[in-house]
Amino acid sequence: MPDFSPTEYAVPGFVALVLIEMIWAWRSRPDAYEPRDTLTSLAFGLGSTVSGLLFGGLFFALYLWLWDYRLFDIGWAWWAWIACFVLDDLKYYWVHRTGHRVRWFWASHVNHHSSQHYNLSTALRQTWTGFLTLGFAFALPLVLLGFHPAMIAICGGFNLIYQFWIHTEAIDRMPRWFEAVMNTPSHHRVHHATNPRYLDRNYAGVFIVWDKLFGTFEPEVKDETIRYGIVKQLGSFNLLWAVFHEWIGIVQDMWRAPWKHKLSYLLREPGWTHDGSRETSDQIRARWLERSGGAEKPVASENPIASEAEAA
Amino acid sequence: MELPPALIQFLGSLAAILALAGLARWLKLGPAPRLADEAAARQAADEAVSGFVPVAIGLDRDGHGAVMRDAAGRILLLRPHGVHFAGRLLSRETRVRRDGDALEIDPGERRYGKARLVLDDVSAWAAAIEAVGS
Repeated sequence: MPDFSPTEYAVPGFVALVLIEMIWAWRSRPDAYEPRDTLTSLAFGLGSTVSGLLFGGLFFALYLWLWDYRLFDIGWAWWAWIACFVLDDLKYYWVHRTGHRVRWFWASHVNHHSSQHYNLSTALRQTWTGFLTLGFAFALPLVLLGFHPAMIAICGGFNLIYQFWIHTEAIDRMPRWFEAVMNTPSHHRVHHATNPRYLDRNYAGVFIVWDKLFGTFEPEVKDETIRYGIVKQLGSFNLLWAVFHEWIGIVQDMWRAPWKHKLSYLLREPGWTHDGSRETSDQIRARWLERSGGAEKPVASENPIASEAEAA
Repeated sequence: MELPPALIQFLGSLAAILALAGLARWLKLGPAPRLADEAAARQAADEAVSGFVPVAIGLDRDGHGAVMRDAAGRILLLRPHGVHFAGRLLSRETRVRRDGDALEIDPGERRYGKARLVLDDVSAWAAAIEAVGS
């Protein structure tokens, strides 16, 4: 079993690229960085590694135990690595989509979105509380299929490294063929946007094809300024508040809600309320479409998969 | 005394993030935002609360924020947060205090804090904010 963590080796590269992007910002986009925001984002990154050390081992032990009951002996062949990387990315798509559509998971994932900036330091803005969700369960099918947990962890590490460079405004568009298949800065800017057109779109990790396949793809529009962050911006750089605010919100909502609605505040989409006092992303988009008289039409609404169920 | 490798890694990473944040400060990145005019305030309002269309705008004289009322009587406060603005729809929890030409507005959310706006028609805005939720 290989004992290798790709993200550890990537850290010096992360630091160097943040440095280069800061120099770019200094020369042409001073508003792309804000020192307090940068400090908060990077502190998130540091804290998440500590959280991973403390709790990651527990999930890895669970995977190892379950691997003994695997359906196939896949082994360590080259093709197994490729298959594992692609399937792990498919898993990432679904865990990420769940992270946006179920408030329990959102409470953890919101950490990655709560900056109003979109730069390479935002990429390192990772959650501390992932272990409080059921995100680990999405990898269980891969383990049961027979992919070794170490192989899954290494593929997940490379997936995370890939996603680092796409958190930037310094790159406009990649070549057309690349934009068609891979997740890119343009596609991921859409994902971090709070513009109604873009809410809850482009969940991909490495391959954007998953969004196209499952009806959640939205291309970046040239003449619309993107605003980043969350629907109700934090308005604070306090690190601990940024880490725990949504968890606190869930507890408060569940405490105040009538009994029959309590669980919905945990399991339904962010923004849902039993009295309609807040809005979900679907409601915000619907109102925006109504205001624009149907002239604006998100691409994903043309997708039959998206229109049958949730707007994602 | 020999430090455990994980602790050395943690301290090294901490030093790196402090250095990067320090560099961002040294380079003077992150200029304070400013609402240049009512058009900018309208745009910022829509960004803060999608679909919020102000019918009255109280713009801070230096552009450091605004209060706005829409046709439904909702009042939106915008105050700077880093390079951007963060908005809050005011509720009955809001406390407002007049200080000459300035209004100190506290939406009652500890982490969001207070905003101080210098306005032309400070009395009218103070009365409007006090009337929220009443």
